[in-house]
Amino acid sequence: MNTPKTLYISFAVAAVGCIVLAGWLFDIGLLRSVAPGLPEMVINTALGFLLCGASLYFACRSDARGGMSDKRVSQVLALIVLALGSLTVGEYLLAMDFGIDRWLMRVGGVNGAEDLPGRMSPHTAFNFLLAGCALLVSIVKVRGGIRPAELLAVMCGMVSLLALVGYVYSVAFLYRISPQTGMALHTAATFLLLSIGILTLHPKAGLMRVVTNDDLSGTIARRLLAASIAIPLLLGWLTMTGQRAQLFDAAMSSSLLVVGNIIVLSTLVWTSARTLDRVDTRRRIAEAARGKLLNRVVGAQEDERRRIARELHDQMGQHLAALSLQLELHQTVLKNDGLDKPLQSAMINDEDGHNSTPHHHTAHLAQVMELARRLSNEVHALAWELRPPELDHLGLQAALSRYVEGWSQRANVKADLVCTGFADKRLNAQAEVALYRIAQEALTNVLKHAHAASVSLVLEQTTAEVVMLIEDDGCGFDTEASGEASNAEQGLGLLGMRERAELGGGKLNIESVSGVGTTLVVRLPLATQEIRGGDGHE
Amino acid sequence: MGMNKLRVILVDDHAVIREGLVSLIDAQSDMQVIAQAGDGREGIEQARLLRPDVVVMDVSMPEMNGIEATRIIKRELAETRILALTAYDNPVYMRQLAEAGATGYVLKRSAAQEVIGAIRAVASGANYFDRAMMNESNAVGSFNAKRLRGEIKSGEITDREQEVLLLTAHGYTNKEIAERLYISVKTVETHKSNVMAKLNLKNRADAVRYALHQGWLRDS
Repeated sequence: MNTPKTLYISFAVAAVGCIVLAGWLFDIGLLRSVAPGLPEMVINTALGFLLCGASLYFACRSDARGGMSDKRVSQVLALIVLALGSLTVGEYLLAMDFGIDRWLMRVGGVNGAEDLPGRMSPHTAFNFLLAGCALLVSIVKVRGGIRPAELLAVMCGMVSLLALVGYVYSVAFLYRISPQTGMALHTAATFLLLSIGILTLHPKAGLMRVVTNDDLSGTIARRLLAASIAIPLLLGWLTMTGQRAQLFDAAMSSSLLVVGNIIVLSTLVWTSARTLDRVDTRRRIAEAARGKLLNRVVGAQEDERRRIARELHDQMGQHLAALSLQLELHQTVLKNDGLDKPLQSAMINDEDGHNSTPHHHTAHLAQVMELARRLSNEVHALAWELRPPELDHLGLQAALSRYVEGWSQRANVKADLVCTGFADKRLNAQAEVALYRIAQEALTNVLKHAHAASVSLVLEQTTAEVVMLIEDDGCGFDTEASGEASNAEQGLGLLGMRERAELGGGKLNIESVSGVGTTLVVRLPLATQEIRGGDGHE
Repeated sequence: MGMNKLRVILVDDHAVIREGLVSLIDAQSDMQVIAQAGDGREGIEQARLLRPDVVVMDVSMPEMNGIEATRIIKRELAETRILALTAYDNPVYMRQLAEAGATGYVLKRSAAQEVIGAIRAVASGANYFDRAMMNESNAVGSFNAKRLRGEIKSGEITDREQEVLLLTAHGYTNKEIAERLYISVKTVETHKSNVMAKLNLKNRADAVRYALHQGWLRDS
């Protein structure tokens, strides 16, 4: 999960701790305070960083290897940091001295330890409290995708950013509350680094996912985040420097800052919006292409079904009907002539010498005829199932009422269809097929899942739209629980039905109450459909 | 003897069917096939020329379908009877054929004897419609209409109930009705089941029929 970056950061944080400890040990002032006159990083702070760096390192390693011991070590180190921070905060709050501030100096035998300030600044102590907590709970994930460690790390980073701004702008209050103690420059910088380290520990989860992902959102988030931190800092510094050099007064300085911010921020907003717009356009094009493709797939499927159905109907069906006719004719001939013409009966002896009577043959023939009849029915049913010819010749109402009737018999569920507002008008072919197929799918669902006693179908045409409702009194299901694109929906073939509806510019909704039933509603707008008259029989 | 035989023309785009029918009909002592045609247009020409007693007409054909051809033949030759012989078993086809002037309708899947019987029946001036389909076409639709007419109660229904019923008939779901009337879905359900019970309506389809009957909806 983590990146080597986090590992480097952990080394850097620990290194800062070591260097400053060395500065104390060998009395090198530059290492303690960066520049003369600035607050020094106290020993406890340096120790804290060493511990933080180590904790981050082990957290990182435990993530990479999944080792429990690494995790334990990381947590123990974090606990020590937490103790260090909270004890020092406690000292400030209670105005007491727990003796922890100069403990290490005394142990190390540093001379004159009693005279040194030794206690870290309140900012620093508070930051160690936050960082310790963050490291301790770095593994914890809270429901909702936000990890507490990230929030703590962000707060820690803010405090150090504040101190850094104080240094950059020479506003001592931001890093030094009392004259004796303040957050050292490198303390602030190291805290900032540490926060980033904690944040990058799990770059693919929580808040960080938004920033680190490779998608557009990540790119924009990174761009805006960097700009929103760096640009105000820079502009502020520029105007302040100008004011201090007495190039302009405070009012002018503020005005320049405001104008600068407005220009920069609006430019950022504009570029981001343009990027989003470009992506939106591309997405719209892709969606349109997908719709077209889907349309073509559905169309091809329907064409193919129609072709096969017609073939079955017109070729096989007709041949079977002819076969039946011929067989029956044969039977009649046998019945009429066979018995009273011995010559004919002699002619139909089997080749292997068996003497079969015409009677025998009539029975055989009856069997063959029964087979032909059954085959003919099956072919007809299959062709009809594939695509009822009514859908092309007579329209949706005729096809649907026939289907509903057959379904009701098969399913042994009462079905009631009522159509209003159609008169003799027909919808366009595409809408008719879409509604027919949706009804077919919906009724299949009712049969499979609903355990309904009755279903009612309503097909209504108004001036603006055509509405189809399919309502059962079955067991229903929980529409809320099935949630976003859930398996339940896909299992019910809702996706396909919805796509059919949307291809026609319409909408499909499902309302269901457990134990009461399910209502499926399809609305197709009529605006995009030309209504054509009857089928030219008039 | 030949003069007494029924003169039959076959109109069907499938030669195999025509051949089967020719053998079947010619095997009968009282009828004979005098011509065949592969589509409606050709069928009309043959009928004009030969003035047959019966035309056995397929429904789905190229050039001109059986419905159109039936209409034209009946217009010109009132004496000629038309028997539709088709694979389509939807009562709507039967109704359209009957309206065009056919007096018989037999499915291709039915037994040959039934076809022969039907030819004799229509030739004698009687109607011959497939029995199974007749039952079906009576059953569809009219059953519910009858039930509704017989059992409509003009019970006391409240304005709210009528409103809910009207919206139900107009194809609104419970949730949509609730949003429209600013009441809860539960309340809609209660109103709906109360009013349906009062009017003895079994389901939504009944509600629509009731609304049509009351003139709340137009059927055109």
